[in-house]
Amino acid sequence: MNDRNIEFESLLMALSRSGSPLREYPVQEDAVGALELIGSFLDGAFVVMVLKPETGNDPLRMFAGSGLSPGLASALESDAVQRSIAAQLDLRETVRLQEVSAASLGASMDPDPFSAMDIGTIYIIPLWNGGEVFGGLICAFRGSLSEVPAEDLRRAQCLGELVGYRRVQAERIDRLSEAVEAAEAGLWALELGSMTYWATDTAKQMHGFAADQLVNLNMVLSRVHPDDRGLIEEANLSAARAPGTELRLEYRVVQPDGNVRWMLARGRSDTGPGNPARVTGIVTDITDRRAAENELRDARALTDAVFDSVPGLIYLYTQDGRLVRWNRQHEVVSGYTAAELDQFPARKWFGEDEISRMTSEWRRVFEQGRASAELLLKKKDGTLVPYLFTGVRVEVDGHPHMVGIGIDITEQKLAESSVAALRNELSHVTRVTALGELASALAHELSQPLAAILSNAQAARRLLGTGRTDLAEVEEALTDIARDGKRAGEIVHGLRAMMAKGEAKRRKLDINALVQSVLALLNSEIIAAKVTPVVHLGAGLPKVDAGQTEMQHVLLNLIVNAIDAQRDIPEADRMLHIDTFVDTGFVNVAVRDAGSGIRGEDLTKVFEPFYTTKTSGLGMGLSICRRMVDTYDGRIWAENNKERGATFRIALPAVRSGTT
Amino acid sequence: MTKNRVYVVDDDPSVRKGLARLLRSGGYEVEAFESAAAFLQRDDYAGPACILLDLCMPALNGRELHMQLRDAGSTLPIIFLSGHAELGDGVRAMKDGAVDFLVKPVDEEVLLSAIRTALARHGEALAEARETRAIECNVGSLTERELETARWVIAGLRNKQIAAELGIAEKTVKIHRARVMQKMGATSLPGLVRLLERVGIRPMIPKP
Repeated sequence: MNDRNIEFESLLMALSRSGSPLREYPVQEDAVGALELIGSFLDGAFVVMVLKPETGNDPLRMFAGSGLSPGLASALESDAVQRSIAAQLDLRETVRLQEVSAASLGASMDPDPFSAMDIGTIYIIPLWNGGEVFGGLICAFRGSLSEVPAEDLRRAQCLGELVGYRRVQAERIDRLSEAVEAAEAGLWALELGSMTYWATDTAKQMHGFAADQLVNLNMVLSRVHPDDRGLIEEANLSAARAPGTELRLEYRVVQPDGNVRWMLARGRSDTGPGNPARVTGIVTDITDRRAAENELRDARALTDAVFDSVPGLIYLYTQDGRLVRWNRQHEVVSGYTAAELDQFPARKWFGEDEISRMTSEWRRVFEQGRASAELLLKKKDGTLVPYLFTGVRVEVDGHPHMVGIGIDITEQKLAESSVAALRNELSHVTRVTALGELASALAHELSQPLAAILSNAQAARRLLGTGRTDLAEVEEALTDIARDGKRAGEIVHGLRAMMAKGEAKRRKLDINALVQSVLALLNSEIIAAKVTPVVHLGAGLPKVDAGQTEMQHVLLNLIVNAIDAQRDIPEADRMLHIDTFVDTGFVNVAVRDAGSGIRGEDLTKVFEPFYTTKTSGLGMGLSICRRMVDTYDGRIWAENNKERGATFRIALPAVRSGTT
Repeated sequence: MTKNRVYVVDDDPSVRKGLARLLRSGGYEVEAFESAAAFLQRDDYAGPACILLDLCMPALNGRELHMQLRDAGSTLPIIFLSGHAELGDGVRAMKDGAVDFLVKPVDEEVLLSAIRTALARHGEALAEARETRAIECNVGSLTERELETARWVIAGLRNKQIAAELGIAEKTVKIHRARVMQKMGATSLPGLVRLLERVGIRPMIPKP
């Protein structure tokens, strides 16, 4: 190994250390010093380094050691000279130019700066990295010169590549630093050979150092949570073994004040020309993000737990009816797997006859914000289960969605139907009881036509038995029999209807006809009670949509109550006024008596179950009446008259004309 | 001879018409009324009659009409018709003197039999009333002394004792006695006693 080589080796080592872009002093000065060293290595040549622009047609960047004349510097900076240097670099080979002048490089200058400095020969050495020429060294020699040994040129090239690459790196890191600082992140680099550590101010501060403090890897590691130090060392090791390794590690930093903060370091190992492996990366403080993520994860875990523990269904659908989120119960109930439920179309849950109702409620969710509906859910095995579904419009990722729950209402439906059955039973018992109390009056009412029929029949037989039959009289008797038979039939029919068992059927009812039928049934009772009814039936009343049996029962109750209320007052004072009329869309019936009226606080209580002022009966009459009227969206109430007695009123919604 | 008449009082026109037709076919003269008030406005009728009266009617009901008639001294027999068999009503009606209490619908045999009974009763009542009126008329034809003598006679005194009581001759007592028997149409002492008793003429009571 010759002296020259030793000189080169020592120079390379010096430059490796001093020329590191990770050092704290300005890289500009660093490069200048390095070029001077190369110049002296080449026996006093002026060495100028040019670096190609990163992009486009920007001028070459030029670095020169001291001693370069201003004239030569400006000549080298001129466009023409730059163009010709760039052209030489594009040859990708070391070029030797002799008898060089400004003119020979395309620029005309007087006096010629080259000859002014007695420069006769220049070498233009391309600088390589990764198969690309990124710049060059221009080595200018005074006077006439014999050829520089190729060995030295290669060594100069090597040193230039080291300095140039570092310079490029430094510039790159500078630019990166700015961007990274702007993002409130820190930038760091670690040379794995020398374990030289460099970090931006922000990165230093993140680890609890002052911005102007010099830090090394050990100082940084001392701030890392003991449990995480091994992680970092291991990552560095694997990066050193395999250049190009991507690093990503999260670690804790214990700051001087004891605060623990989470950091995310991301980086990549690589190598430069003649350089040991280096890791460069970004560090960001992710304490807040981690906290937020944790919070989010916890919240998500909580919602998932809640979702899955809810016995009902929970679902999230897109507006076009695709299931995007659901709870575990949804799978259990429906029998579909999670994979099947993903994007499951909402319509598929329902049978044909439910679809139109479901779609109208669906629309309501998105138009009005919320809706609910009782629908039959079709399971995978085809069985139908009654569910109450709710839906609320929500925005998810900026798109309208529907979130809601589904509750199995099988039990409720069963309970409802059994309650309904009980109510029907009670209603039936009450009606039969009410009629039972009227038994004698009803028997009387029925015996009238029967008495007439029997009399007429027997008279007719007698008339036929005599020798001189008066056929006209017989015919008249038969006509009367037919009429009274019909009348008896109507009474029986009315009674049977009143005693009918089972669910009430809605029908379009003529309230006036109903009042008359009840009055007919109560005729004997009214006569026996010595009350004279005064009936005013409104003309052309709209019909009402209600159950005939129930409404008859309600009217019967009110009329019987009115009669009962007047048993103890003088006959002359008794009154039974029945009026029907229409008022603001409601068909009204008013039953007015002249009894003792109702005490103020009892005006509403009379409609409560088991409340009674009578000595007989259960006190269910009016409470059942109210329930019946409620069923048909009507109202029933009581008020005291100005004079004396009370008026009970029913108002039932009138069926709009045209729908009858 | 006057026909037997039945008054039908019922507020139900069908019942009223049917009953009237049946009774007419049974040979009775029928007059029907729709209310008690209308019945009270009826024309007088001398022959045997009875009332077929509905118990349950608006305004004045059957029972009230019955009471009113009884208070006015009417002898018209009443047969009640009721829409239903209520024991209390029936018992009360019978106690108050009704001939019968029938429940609708009523069979013709039951009805006609009750009607016959009622009419017969009224016929008897009428005959009795006529007899009484005749006796009263005979009593009216007696002189004061003859009536006095008659009262002593039915007290069981002999002619001699009567003469002593009246302070007249026994022979005069005999003449009075014969005139009384003749005017009253009596053939025996017990007969006379019965006649006078019917019109409320009491025997004289001898002083002790």
